[in-house]
Amino acid sequence: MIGEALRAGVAVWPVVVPLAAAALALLLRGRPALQRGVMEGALALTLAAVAALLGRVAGGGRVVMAFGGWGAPVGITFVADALSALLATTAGMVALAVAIFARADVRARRRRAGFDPLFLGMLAAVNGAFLTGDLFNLYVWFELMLVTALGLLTLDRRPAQVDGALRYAAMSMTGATCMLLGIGLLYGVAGTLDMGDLSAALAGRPPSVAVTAASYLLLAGLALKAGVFPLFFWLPASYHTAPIGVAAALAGLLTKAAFYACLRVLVTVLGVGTAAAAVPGVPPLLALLAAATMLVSVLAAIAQVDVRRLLAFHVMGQVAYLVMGLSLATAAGAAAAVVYTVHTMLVQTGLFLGAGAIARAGRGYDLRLLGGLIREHPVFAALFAALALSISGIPPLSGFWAKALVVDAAFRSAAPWRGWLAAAALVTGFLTLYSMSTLWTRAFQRPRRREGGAAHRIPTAMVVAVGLMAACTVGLGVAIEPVVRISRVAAAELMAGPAQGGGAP
Amino acid sequence: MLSTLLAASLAGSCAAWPLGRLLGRRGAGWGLALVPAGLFAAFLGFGPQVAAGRTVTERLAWVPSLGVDFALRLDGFAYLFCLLVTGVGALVVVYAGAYFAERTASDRARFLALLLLFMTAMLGAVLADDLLLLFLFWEMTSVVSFLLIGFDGGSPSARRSALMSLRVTAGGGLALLAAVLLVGASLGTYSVAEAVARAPELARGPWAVPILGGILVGAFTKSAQFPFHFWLPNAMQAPTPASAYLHSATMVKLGVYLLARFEPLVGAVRGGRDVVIGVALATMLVGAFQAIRAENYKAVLAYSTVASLGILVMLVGLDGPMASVAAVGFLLAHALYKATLFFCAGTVIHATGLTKLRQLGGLGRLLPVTAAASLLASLSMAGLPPFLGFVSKEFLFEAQIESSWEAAPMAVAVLVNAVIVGVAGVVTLRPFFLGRGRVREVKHREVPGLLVGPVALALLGLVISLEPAWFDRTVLRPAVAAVYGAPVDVQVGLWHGVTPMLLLSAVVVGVGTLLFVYWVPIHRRLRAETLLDRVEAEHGYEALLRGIEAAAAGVARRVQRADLRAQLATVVAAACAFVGWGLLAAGVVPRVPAEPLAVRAGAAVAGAVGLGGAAAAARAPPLLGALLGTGLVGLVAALLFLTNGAPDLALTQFAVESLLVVLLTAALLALPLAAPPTRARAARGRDAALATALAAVCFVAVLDMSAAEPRTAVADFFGARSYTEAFGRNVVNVILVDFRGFDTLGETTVIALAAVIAWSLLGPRGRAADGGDAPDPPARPGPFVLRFATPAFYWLLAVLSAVVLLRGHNEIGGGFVGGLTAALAFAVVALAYGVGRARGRLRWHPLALAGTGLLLAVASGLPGLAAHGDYLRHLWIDAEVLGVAVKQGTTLLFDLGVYLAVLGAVLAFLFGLSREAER
Repeated sequence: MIGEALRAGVAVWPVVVPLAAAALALLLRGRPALQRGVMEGALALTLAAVAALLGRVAGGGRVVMAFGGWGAPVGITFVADALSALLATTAGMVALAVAIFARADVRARRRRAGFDPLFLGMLAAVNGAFLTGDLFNLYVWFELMLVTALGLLTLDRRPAQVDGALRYAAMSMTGATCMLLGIGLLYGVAGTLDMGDLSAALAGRPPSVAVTAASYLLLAGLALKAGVFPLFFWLPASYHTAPIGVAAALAGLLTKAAFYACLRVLVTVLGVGTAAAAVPGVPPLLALLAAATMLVSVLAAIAQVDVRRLLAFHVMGQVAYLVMGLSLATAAGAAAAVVYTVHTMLVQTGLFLGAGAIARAGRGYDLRLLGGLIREHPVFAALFAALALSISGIPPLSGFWAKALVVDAAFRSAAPWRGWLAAAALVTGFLTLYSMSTLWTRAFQRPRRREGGAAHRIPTAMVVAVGLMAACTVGLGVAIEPVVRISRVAAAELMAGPAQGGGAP
Repeated sequence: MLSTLLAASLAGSCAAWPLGRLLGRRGAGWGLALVPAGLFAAFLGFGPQVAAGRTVTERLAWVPSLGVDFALRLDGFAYLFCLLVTGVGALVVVYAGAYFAERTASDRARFLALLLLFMTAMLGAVLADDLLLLFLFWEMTSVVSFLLIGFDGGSPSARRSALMSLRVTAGGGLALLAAVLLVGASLGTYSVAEAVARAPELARGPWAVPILGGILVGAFTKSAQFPFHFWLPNAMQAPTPASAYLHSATMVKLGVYLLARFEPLVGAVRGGRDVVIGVALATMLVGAFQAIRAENYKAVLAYSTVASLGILVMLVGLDGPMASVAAVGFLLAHALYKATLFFCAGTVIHATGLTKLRQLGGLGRLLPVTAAASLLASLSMAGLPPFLGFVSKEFLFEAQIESSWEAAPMAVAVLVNAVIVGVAGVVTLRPFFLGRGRVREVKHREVPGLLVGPVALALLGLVISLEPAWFDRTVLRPAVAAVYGAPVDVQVGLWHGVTPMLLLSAVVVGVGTLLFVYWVPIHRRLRAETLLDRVEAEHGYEALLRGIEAAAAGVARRVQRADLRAQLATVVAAACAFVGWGLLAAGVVPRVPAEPLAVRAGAAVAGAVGLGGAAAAARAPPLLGALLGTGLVGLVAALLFLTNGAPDLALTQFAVESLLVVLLTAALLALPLAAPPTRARAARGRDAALATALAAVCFVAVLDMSAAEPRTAVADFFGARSYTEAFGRNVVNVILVDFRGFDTLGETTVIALAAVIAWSLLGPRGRAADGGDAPDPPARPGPFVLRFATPAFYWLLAVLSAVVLLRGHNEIGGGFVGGLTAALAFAVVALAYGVGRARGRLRWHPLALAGTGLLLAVASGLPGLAAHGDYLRHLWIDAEVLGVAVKQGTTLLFDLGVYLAVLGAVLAFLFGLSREAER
């Protein structure tokens, strides 16, 4: 019976396990070692769960969990398909790297301040967002992401962190309000919150003010959370204040979960890119936003001298590629965006973790003062180089495939602006390489500026964590086929529209 | 077989790092040279097949979903490159081992490993028959050359040059990537051979110009063509063995390789040849001029390389079979003599520590073998018989005469070749044979490792032209056939009678000799011409960098403004703009409900009051006023809930509002009550406009929504089945704990984790900053009246909260309101007696309460999962307690969890704020 229950709950374990562990970690307050044990154990179980889930749905099909046994559209459902399982697995890998890094970075003080329950809560929220088939439930998970992110941001109680968190909260809540307004309007029109049911209800209707306003408000809210220009100010205002391990988790998870939600809402619910699109005008707007976000972010990144700020701008610059894939409104574009999401989750996390290790070795994040790390840390230099090249789109790393797929999808689309979009993507690729090569040269190659002799030791856990992400990007670069295949399945399922509704109540 | 060789090459370069350290100072170069030497031997084994005109292919599926294969193809042209890359590679490794003898073992091993890695990349690039695979190796050469050029990262100029070469070549690579993807999208295949074969189809397609442009930019950046040529002379910052490798046989030839492959496309697109030849001529002239102006030994060689690359690209651009012959011949001759000359320059610089040509002289005695090798190479470079350089120059002029082009390329070619003759004289005669006595002693003598490379390559340039049979059959003809696309009858011979080519060669040698004789005055004259410095393309690169940095700084300044309010305004404006765009794109107008809106007086009044509250909150400068205004809005919302038949929501709203007042009062105790206005008048106007716009969007949308046919199936279901299937009469509560219990679970987590934040952020620092709990401040009794009434209030609220919790499923109430009520009970105690007393009453830590609550809520879903396979499916038991039938389910467990979490969270806030205030 236990085995049966374990199997029956396969779609819900990725959320329930970290939630239960978060509660346990709360109870174990003041016992950092135990908290860490609970967190790591739960993480291992969660990873196993998402991997099992991925194995179940990678080839197509879905695993549905109807909460309370009610079924859609009355109750809430989790609908695990190739897309959600793939991203949840990637999120698990990201969390694993962060947890490993945390062994060296998150000491007892931060654990007592609640790192473990907050981190687990964030993992649960991200998985919940990936898995849910219900629009309002999606909003709930975003709220949990917001709260946990605020907690993690202010772990050290430094004034800068509180200031960053305040900006983060103010803007995120504005975005959340937009989302909520949109969801409310859609519920008012369609009388349902289940995504499949909503999609079916909206598909046949002629465009209306309510649905249009709802869709664009949702888009604004999600674009804000994904870090899209001109709604992205919260991100550069806050990420660099967070403890670096936390920043890595935020960079790897949150904006991507928001983009995933964009994908789900725009494609599955509103049918963007399908014959039954419920709202017109989305692709050109997204294309414009993508191009603007790319160029603005990468240019802003070039001007930074703090490694964390620099990387924070690249987070948005990379999200723009996802938006670009989505803006093409084709299955190939969606699939490319999914591959890119997997890549960027891993690489952004790796880069932020690498920044943490750089700061540990060079005692700071200021590129004007850093230097010479290649002497003492050649292996780490190589690992960081792999990540930096990957984000710049150099083969044979995951970033190359991701970029090539998005640009290729643009060329193959029918959008009149495809050439310009591809050009913007390539120019941004060049500027990303520009920025990352400067970063690497300054931090590793150039002789040290600061007084005080040799670089400091980097804890093994940090190198292992960065190495894990570097190994992922190299591994995917060599063997991208499975991810491409799953992404194609995922895109096809997304475009196929409503299949998850549980019929009429 | 090919992939095995490639894998061996990669394995060799990976092993080189550790092996290079093990093999020691003398052994590293010789030992590691076995890798390329072995590969060279293996490639020689393909000779008979290649000579017979066969191609060796190999194809493994790599990313089948994308049609990308790990496809390798060895034809005559690739074969020539493989031999060059591995053969010169072996000699370079031996040379580098000796050159780096004095460096640390780690540096030496790292350098040799990079060289071998570079060789692997080159091999892969010329063998690849898949455009994406080709691109992979292409970019790999860029990255590894970045590491090689910047090998001595301590020097700023080395870092600058390395970055420059990476940015130029990898940036050009991106253009190539676009072309590659467009080829794939146009033809449905990434096969290089097929793409070349179907070049006319590509040329007719809509993407012809972008494809050709991408390939050209990729090739021109890699092969240092004008205006991208400037990275190459700068790349001389690399240790000389790397220069010898990169700039003779490998990196820079890769662009020529690609261009030669896609020559059919160049010919098929209108204007293609004009562009290629135009760029090549410019490159030749610039290279030749700068070679004369250059002072450094290596820089002279580098600029002559630029000129030579221009010649090669021009040959690719020319039509006719002889152009292919000449390209192949010159490519080989140049690789041999240029590598030799770089080796010799390296030996000289290594031995003397001097880099400028004018400082050098008379080294022939000190470095006799090097001098001899340099002499042989220079003779080949000058195109004198019986060297290979002579043969290739004959081909060159024959190609020009044969081609359909006019005199301009010919004139330029004569001039540039003459300069090359002059350079050949200068780089050998001046350091080794003239200026005797200028250098009297050397730091390092010639050692075998430094000699093998130059001597072998210099001799090879002689041997091939004297004994051409094997070479002609196995290398030249297959390579030409592969480039031209059909076999060309060609003979390597030294004497073809008195031909126009011979006469042209004579003219070149004559002019070149004159140039050499008057080299110094011409050099000085041209150096004095600073105008030439100013038009250098490198300035364009610098300007581009400055432009990027300036744009970056400008953008960063704008997006990093610290004004939160302006950013929020941007966000709201963007949201409104999005909706505006959507409405425009949809071309819809709002519908109005069919029956005119029945304006209810009560709702209207409530709305007006709420509006007033909002306006007051926005306007009021003192915090208290803003607080009251917000509270008013909340109360109106609760009233509206109440009048619309949702008493539960209203109750919750009331409770939340009350608690908010309590909590904020606790906070305000610690804050100044009056805050000065911080917004300028214009900002207020802007904010008001934006708020109005967003409100208008919402109003119009809601109006339109209510005009639509309502779809109420789900809501009806809730009403109908709440009691029959979920056993609760209070529909709101049933929705919260059952129908949509999972939402509630998520929100419970939000609340519980918010408690964590409150606890760690609020309250005293010091030990608490370390996460520990500081002792509470001493109890401070409140007013007497409060103390008098407190016990009664406390018990009343406590009992009330339990009742609200228990009956929630059927009557108004539930875990959330229950938790809030209980929190109020403790709040009263805290107000009356201070936090210490309240915490004493509570006994539990607020966070422990929150954690227990969350755990209960999560666990309450498990029985249903175990029994029915549905998480949060509630199970029910019927029991009789004291004669009353009680139906109770796991819903109670869930509600209790919510209750505890809410209680814990509110108390964490309350205690935290009070402690903060009392501090």
